Amino acid sequence: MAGRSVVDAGAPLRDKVAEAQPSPASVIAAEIKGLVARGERDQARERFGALVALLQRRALRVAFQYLRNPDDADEAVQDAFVKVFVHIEQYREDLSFDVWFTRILVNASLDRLKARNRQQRFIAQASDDDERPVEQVPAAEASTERRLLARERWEQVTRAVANLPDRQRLVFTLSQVDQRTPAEIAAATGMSAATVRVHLFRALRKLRGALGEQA
Amino acid sequence: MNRRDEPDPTLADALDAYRAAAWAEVDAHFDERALEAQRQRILQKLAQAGQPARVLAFPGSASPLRPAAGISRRWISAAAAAGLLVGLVTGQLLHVMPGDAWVHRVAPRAAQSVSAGRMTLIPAVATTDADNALLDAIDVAVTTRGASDLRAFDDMTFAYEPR
Repeated sequence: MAGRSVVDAGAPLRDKVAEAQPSPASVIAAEIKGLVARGERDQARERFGALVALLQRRALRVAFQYLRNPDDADEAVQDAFVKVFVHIEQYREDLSFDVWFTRILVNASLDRLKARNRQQRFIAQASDDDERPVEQVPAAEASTERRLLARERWEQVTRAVANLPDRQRLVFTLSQVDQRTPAEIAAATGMSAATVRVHLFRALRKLRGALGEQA
Repeated sequence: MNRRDEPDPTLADALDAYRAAAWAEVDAHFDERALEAQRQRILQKLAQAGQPARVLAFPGSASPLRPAAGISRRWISAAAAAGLLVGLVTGQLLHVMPGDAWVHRVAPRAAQSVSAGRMTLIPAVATTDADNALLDAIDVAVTTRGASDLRAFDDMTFAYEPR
């Protein structure tokens, strides 16, 4: 993973994810861009707090899937938000802010991962999560059998996801954890929509195979 | 996702469980307080990003350095000039009078003052033939018998020196 950029930051947003109805994040981002353009940076920063509050949980979920470490995920998300604000004037209102932000977030996560690897620190493997308490698997009213089954599935899928190639893992994470459409993933990663679909198809096929083997 | 990407029910269940657990895991790490703290850190970074670099005072004293008062500065200047003048005059005098003449003039005077004060001071500057003879005798003693006696200690000391 480290040493190879999965996301082409310089690639244009090929698949324009034009929003029929701009998302709340896109609306706030456009507002902030206007404030910065008028030199009202204090108000822009204030408004940016609302944007952070809107997106930070989702951002942490994506970053954590990459980094498997809460501190690193925290730093990556902070870096991403700071970059967004610094470059807010480059934001195009005709495109989805969420997709633009996802691209910046993924790159920030990859940067953090590379820095961590350079420091030769151990990357927590997904298998380390074997100690995950069953209670964290959300099945509040489920029976013990169902909870155990959910945990078993979690472990199987986690192992299989960890073994996916980088691009497949990226596409899978954005698709399944961040619930992005292939078009949004394509825009966020710089891949074509067809490439995203191929990666997603292969990832799901491998996961299906892994689950079948262990069943 | 098109039909080709559509997972089968078993896989779909597993993926749902995976997503839900992944979200729960992150939520367990980042509660509302952690999210608020993160927001504050981001806003602090943004506030600092717009400010020019701060220059630290050196030396790090609480009060800034003040220029010296006018009188003190004048005294310091005068003392420096006087010291320079005295040094130049002294240097010229030493140059005009050769070294031996200077020694022969100073040494008897020192001897007189010592005898007058009944003190046994050895004139530091004057070196007579008797002194030279004494120094030669010491030198010979050190380089012959004494040196051989000390050499054993030297060798032993070297042997115990830390590496």
